[in-house]
Amino acid sequence: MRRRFPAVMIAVLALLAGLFTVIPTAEPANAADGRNFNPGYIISDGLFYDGAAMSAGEVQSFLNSAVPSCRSGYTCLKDYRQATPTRAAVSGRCAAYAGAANESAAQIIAKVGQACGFSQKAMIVLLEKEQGIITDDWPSARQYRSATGYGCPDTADCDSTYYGFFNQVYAAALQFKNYQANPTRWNHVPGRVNTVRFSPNAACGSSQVYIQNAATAGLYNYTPYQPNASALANLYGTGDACGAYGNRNFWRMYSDWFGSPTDVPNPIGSIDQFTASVGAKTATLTVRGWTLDMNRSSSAIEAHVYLTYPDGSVKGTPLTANQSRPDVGGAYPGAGNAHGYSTNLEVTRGGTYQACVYGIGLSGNNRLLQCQTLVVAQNEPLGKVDEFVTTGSGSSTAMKVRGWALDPDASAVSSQVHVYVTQPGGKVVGTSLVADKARPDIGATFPGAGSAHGFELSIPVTTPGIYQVCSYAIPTYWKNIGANRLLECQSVNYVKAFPNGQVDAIVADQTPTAPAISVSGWTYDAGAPASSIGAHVYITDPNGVTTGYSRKADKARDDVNRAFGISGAHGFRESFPVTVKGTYTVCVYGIAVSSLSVGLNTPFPCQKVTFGTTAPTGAFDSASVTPTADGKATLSVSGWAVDRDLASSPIQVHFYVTRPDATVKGYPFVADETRNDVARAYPWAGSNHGFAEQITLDQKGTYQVCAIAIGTAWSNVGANTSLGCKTVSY
Amino acid sequence: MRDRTRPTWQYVGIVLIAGSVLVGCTGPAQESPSPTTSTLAPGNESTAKGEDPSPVPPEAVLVFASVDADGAAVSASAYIAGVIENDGVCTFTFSAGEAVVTTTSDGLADRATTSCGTVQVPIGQFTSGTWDATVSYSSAAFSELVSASSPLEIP
Repeated sequence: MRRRFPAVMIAVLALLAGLFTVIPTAEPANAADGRNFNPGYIISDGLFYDGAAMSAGEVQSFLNSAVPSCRSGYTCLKDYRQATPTRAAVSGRCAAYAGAANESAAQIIAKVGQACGFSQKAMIVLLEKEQGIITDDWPSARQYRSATGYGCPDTADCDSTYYGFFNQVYAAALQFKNYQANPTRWNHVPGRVNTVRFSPNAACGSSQVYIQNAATAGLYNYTPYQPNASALANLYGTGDACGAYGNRNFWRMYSDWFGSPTDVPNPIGSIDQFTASVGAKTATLTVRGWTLDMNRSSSAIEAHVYLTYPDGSVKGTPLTANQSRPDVGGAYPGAGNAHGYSTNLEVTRGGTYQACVYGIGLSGNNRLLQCQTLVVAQNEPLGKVDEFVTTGSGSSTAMKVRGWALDPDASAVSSQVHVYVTQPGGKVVGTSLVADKARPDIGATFPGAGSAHGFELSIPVTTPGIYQVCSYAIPTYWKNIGANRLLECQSVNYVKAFPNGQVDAIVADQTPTAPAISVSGWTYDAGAPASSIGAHVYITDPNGVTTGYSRKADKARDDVNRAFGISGAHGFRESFPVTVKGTYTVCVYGIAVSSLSVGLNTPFPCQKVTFGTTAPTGAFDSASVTPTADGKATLSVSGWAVDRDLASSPIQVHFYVTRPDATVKGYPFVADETRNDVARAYPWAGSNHGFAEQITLDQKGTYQVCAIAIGTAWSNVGANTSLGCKTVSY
Repeated sequence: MRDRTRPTWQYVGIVLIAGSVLVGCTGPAQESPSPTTSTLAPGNESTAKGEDPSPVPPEAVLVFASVDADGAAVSASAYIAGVIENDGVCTFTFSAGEAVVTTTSDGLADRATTSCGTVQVPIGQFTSGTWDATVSYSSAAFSELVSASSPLEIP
């Protein structure tokens, strides 16, 4: 009968389990003492053949701590990666090794250990004692090639089987399992006295060693020498000429890094079965094995099964390991048979599951017995993105994604599609759709599926930049849940839009009755080029007061449309009255309207315009008198005058004639005669600024004639210019 | 293996609850553990870089020749140092005066040696007393590598 455990209990169990997965580092735990070296018992079988000694993450942490910094230009083991081959199972030795691209050294060490039931700790020590590659911060290619020192037979293909990091690790683990599986096929045999040499040099002698277990016999087969007294006396150095160090260093390094290699693991046990029975709507996972506490082997202890689901969640199940296992009872005399555990766990989706089982010792000595993985096979959904296009423009710009999806195991059901949009700022927005739009072509391709498998989504473009759109088909059938399939990721860059434009002219309109600043130009939003957009005008008057005016650039400017290949009306020509003389600063902004240019209003260069006082310019060219028949005379005067602030308009010239009797008479004329020479000299003025007038004189004597050009522009009123005086007489 | 670039089923759950728009998908989690500093264990005598270990001269080495614990047979084992190959033959020879007992095994390439494995000869083929045991090895590449002899006490 299974007991129910509350969640709190599970949490406690998890905590307890955690205590036993402390990650070792390359820090020496405690200095080993050569006097404790027993040549017949270098390491226990339990530790040596513990394929769950370390996870890949723990191995990686260990490698990281062993070489904190790798020399420049070298690949240290912590960073080493390679493609690994698949190795078929070797009966009684190693389970199959699933090769993979780009596996780390830590993954290789962990996976080989799991497949072969060979301790990752022992492998780390083996790698170090053979080539020093664990702690080397500038390992050579040869150290990787022969990492475990596994020799290549003279007739073998060394590269495919023996050389290289993976081959070395795998070959060594397999060979240690070969030694264990068939101990009499090799030369150092456990359970009897063996003559073990001190050195390859026969003259150094040997001693009789009762080899207590398979692991120690394996170490001597691998390296057939034991340390002599001098090698043990100087445990961290070298001894005399007959010293051999391989097995000594294995023992010492293991002791330093992982504690005593001869502590017997307790509790012991294993996972004997981790299988899945797949039903119509669920699968049942069976975890079966045994465990016992060696200190009180006749008592049944608990086995805690931790099942890691494909989504990473973990469920703990405490069991009492009291089911009958005569094989265990037979192997451990006095223990009895009641040490088996078994549980069935129902799961509702496929994927990779891992079961890890802890033996819960009777004196707080909990221990991870083993982890195993299994895969409940899944089928990914089918589907395709058929179309990914941009629609609309400006504020209506959007991306359209269209395609189809279906779950091959539930093809008649419309499945879900998730579309994840990564916006330019990095924010990800997901949308869940049901792919149920009609797609007769899919229905025709997958008989029985029907046609309701299409999807389509329009995604508004709200800001310029790069968008990534990833579409996933989501399975419907229970077993496939979680096997979401990426149909496609597509990216598009919506370039930043902004108002384009220019201020053509800012003019002081000096019309005397309505002085104003005239501003003209054009602007349009590149993100919405058909729309007429705002043109904001900011005018700062001579007193520093700024006034803003909101206008619209909506006057026809065919020249602009032609130049930029756009349509609509984008011109502006605006007048802003002025009241005081002085210099005005005029700034114009194009106001963005597109979602691709929000906030990106374009400032066009500010310009100044001055309403100053500039007296007219001109010349009093000539004055001549012509007597007339009636005894009078005609005074002819000529010249020109222009108010440069109102150059297009003729201005007045006033003549003051002082008569011989000292009376003064004034004559206002308008200087509007054609004077091409003036236009040539002052192109801005034009030609209609001449005067050629006649005044009748009726007294004989001397006259003085003075000409005054009259300031006419708004800002020049009162600023008149004397063009000079001339004296004539008759 | 979970593919971390995919949306996980938790997201699906959120979608179902929250409606059609999800926010906050993140990239793959960083897995690399942070390195810790460490002092290395002293006395690391790695093989010097760039050199293969000095070759061991070919030699036949007897590991044991002794009576099994149950007294029913004599077992002997040996290896050939300095040779790694599969095509040779090991010949175990036990002699006492005129009496000679031989048995053979196939050499098997091991990690650093050629292993002759363990041979077993029924105790009935031996008479009580002190015998000498040797092993010799022959192959295409080597002829008659003979070990030093080892005494074998038959009770």
